[in-house]
Amino acid sequence: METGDRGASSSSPGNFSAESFTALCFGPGLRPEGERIAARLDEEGVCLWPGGAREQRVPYRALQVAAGGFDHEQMILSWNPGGEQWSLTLSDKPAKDFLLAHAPPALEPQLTPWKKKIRAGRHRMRLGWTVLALFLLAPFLLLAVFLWQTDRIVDWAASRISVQNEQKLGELIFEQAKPSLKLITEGEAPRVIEQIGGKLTAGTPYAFKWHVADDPAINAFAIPGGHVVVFTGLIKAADSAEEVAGVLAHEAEHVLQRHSLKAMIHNLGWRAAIAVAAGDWTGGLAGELAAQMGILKFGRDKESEADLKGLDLLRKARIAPGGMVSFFDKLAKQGGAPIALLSTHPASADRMAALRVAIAKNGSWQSQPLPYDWASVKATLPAK
Amino acid sequence: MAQMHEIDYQIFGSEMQYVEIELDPQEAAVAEAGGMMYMDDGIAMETVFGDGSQQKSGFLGALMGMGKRLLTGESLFMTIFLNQGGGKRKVAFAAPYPGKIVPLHLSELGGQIICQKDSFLCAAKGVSVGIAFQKKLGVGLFGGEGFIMQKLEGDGYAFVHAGGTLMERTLAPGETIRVDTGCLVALQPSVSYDIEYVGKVKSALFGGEGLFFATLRGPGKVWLQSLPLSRLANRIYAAMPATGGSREEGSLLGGLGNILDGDR
Repeated sequence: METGDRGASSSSPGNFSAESFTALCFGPGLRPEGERIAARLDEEGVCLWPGGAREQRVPYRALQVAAGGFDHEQMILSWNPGGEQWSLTLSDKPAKDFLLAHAPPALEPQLTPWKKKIRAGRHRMRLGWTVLALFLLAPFLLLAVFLWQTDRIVDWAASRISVQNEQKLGELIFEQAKPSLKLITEGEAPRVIEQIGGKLTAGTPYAFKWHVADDPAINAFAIPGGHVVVFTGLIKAADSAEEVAGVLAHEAEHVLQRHSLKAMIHNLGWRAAIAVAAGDWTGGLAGELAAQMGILKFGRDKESEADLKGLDLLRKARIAPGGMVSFFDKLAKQGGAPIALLSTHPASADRMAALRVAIAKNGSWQSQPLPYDWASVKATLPAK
Repeated sequence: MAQMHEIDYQIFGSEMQYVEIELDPQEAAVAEAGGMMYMDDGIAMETVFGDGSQQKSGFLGALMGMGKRLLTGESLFMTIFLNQGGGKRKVAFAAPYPGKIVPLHLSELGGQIICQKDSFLCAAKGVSVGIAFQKKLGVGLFGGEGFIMQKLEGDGYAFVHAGGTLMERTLAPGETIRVDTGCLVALQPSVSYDIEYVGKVKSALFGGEGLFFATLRGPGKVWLQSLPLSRLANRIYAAMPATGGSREEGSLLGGLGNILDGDR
């Protein structure tokens, strides 16, 4: 491709003058595809084929300037001498810039509408694309907002749910979980767990219900609304009532801080947001969620919160805090087979450290030893 | 000019065409991968990234070209057919569906042609196959060709393919034609391409022409096709027994069914 062939050529040798530009010319007698010709601006008009045999001059007042072409921004100069239709198309930027820079005052009135049209067209184009982009990106924006403000949205949503409704929801979930749990209702253990739990949560807005399930896993979990299930494995692994009280206080705080509820909302919100973004509405959300409740995991910050607030519960109930620390410590050190409680309650070193610091800071309080002989409580559990 | 290869060609067939290109020694043609029909002994085939027009543009350029080709829905690679023999050799490229092959001599057409995407068949080496982006939202959405079209630049021969029968029309300055969206094959960049609302709900709903026309305003040349592939595909799809069509031959109801629903 000859570069000198296109655009403004100010230093081109030959019969082009210093102020000529090239453009595609259409008109009678010319090739139908248009011919690339040189043109020059002088005082009276546009001079085509300057210096050539076909030189002709088009006066400025006969010219009309329009925007057009495939990119809608080409400059089309047209004139109709004696009914013939002629036009000169300036498509490349150098030629357009040249014409704009060298346009005599006589051409200015015709150029102004072109400039306006280009500007308006660009403006409209930008507006249109912005609207389209927003429309297409809206679900993703929603997702981003949700990602960014998750905690605030979840807290707000949780605050709209009353304790009564939360308890109803908890009842539903518990009923669904019940068949898979071998609940123990007879014997010493459920009574003791209930007493310790009741002592810990006296005066809270929730009607806690404490359950013991026959399961060798060392675990305990809380359901929104106040159902707390302790596995026999945990009772057996504990050496004193204080250790179990620590776990119960921790679980009770999950309920009081509405961690399960928030996790549920979080989960639900995520799915809804993703469903909107991905355009997939294949239901079954609620049932699946309920099934997952037993294995809900909380973030590390939620666990620490439950630890520290749980400590307050222990203090109010005048139960020594040492059990809480020693029990988690003991489990963490034990190693070997993975312990369920630790997999759902990741015991990190800094969490334990934070707990110890909190205990040291608050000072110890007057505690009364819990009046249970733990060995005999364990003895009443079904043997495995 | 020096890097453009001048090729001689001949188009065979009437409705299902192929183009045979004669290459002088060391001349090359470039084609969409998969378009080759046959070639003489002595022609070497090389697959390249992009269109082979800018071999020295470096990694970034190659990457850009790749992105553009992905946008136009083409394959990432093009094949260069280079005549390494001593004499003239021939290579032929076939059109992928019924229609016409349009030879475009780019230097005679102002150096640039914009055509519908996927219509590029082959070209002399040196012709660059780029994208022309439709900036007007309305035209892109309702113009029938989408936002991306192909831009063929250079001054050698390029061959594009149109469905059905081809119509070539030269528009005088200011002359306007209305075209059913989808029937546009190629146009010179000096032609204004816009859309126009049909304006009558009745004709839009029952006229079967859609809500919009494409309007083409001269000056310049335009090429129109009588049968866009999508239209043909729609009819074939509708007539397929698997999709509820009823055009199977020799069925029990065959003759009677045809009388009932007439022949379209």
